[in-house]
Amino acid sequence: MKGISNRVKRYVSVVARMDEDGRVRPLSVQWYNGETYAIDEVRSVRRSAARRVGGDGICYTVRIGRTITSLYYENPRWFVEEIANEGRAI
Amino acid sequence: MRDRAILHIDMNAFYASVAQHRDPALRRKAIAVAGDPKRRNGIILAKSREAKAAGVKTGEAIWQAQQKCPQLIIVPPDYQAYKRYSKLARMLYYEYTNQVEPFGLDESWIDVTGSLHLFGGTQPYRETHQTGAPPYRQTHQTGASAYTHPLETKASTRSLESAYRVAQEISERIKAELGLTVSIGVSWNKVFAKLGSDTDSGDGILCITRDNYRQLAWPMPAASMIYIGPVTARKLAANGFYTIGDVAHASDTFLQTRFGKIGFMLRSFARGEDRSQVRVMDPAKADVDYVIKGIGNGLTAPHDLVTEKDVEALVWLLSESVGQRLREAHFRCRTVSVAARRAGDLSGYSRQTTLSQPTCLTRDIARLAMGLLRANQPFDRAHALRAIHVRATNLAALEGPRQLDLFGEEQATWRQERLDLAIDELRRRFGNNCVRRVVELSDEAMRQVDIKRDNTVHPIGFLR
Repeated sequence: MKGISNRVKRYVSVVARMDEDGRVRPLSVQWYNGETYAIDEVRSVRRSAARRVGGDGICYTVRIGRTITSLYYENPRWFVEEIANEGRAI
Repeated sequence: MRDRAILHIDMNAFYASVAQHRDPALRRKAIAVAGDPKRRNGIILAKSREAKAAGVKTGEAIWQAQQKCPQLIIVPPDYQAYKRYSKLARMLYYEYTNQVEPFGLDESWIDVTGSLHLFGGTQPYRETHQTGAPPYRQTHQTGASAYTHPLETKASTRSLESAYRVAQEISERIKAELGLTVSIGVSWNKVFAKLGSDTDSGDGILCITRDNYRQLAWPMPAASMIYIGPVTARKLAANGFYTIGDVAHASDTFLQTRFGKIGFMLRSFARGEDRSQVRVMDPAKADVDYVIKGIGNGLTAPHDLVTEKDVEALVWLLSESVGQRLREAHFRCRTVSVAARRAGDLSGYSRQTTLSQPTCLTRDIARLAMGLLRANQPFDRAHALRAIHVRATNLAALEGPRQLDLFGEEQATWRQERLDLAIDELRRRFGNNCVRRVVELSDEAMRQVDIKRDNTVHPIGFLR
């Protein structure tokens, strides 16, 4: 299957807001090189398996600028599916 | 009465699939989940489909498996992960019905009869239009038209068609949300539902209806049905009963003389007359702590137990866990039993003793267990032990009334109980190994063992 070899599971720091009803909305992602990416929009929230990197969690489909990507909440950590050979994800 | 619609959902190669799901590098490779060979429980617990194709079997030693399949990757088990996925899957089933009855970590029966109109796309008690061929017929063609009993109406088959759609949805959701595959059996009773999911080894759905069970279920070997194990299968085969159909046609006399009332039960299972309900269980409760009949722990020792000291160390270690679990569950036990397996020929025996007063003291359990062993064998090289099991049964409530005596022994017991409870509390807060007995520390190899922490309660059987 295409995509499996060049994606790795990358745990990231996330700033999130927890609403009073318990809903969680990620606001920004801090990448390991120190750069922070603000999340402009959360397009969908669902439980999903991260087929490409293994594991599963609550999958937030988010828009950061013009890029749409998936951010997983794997209690209690967050991860993304990093594109390995390009050195940057999201 | 309307027929029920029951699904039996079986997660394929559960342990191995979880390992593969969590580490994509293991996918499409022959892997096996196995215990730790250094601790001498190195047997294959589960294998991936690829390993199965190479002939690896559950229960064989790691070296046997590696002989058949040299590229086999061995993965250690992770019970926390298995429990998590098992629970997530069960929570998903609860979205379809409240009748979810788990059978082991990886299997569940669910009864969707009452919610078919919500999820199955049919309206209950109303005629539905049939558009095109029903889905299950495409995959499981029954062939020549079979004799159908006039009383067995098509309505039952129709409700199973919508149950089939529910099964499809569940299967797809488990794959998308948990990354695991399931095989599902759909039928109007629990026995055939399980038969259906067992028949399909991977990612499939098999519908056994009143119209096709004679063609689908009856030609299957008798041993594929629940409650026909190797021994029963051998007994049946010796009398010429090889398939489920054969069992369904067995005579009263034969069943009565060879099996007693269990025989009639097996025949009704084979005829699809099983009426047992899918139990309603509390989803918040773990599926395993329903009715506790006994509490026990056993261990295959890291090395053979030769001297009395060796045996004592393990007996105390096990009793400690049993006692702690007894007190945690608020029980006392009246019967203590001990089972031992010899290192020489792997034969075993078990002995038990009953007390006049129930106890929950680690000290009492250990001394009784040790006494039973002492009375039954000498401790020397010829009688070295490989594994010991200590069990407390005949349970009574911890808070129940107690008979006091004249000589103050009850008070002494009471003080001892408070000591044990205090130690339990310490262990709860600082880990099971924070307070230990000298007798347990005599054995270097067993110092690392934490029986209570590693204890996993496996679920109960089909009949209760």
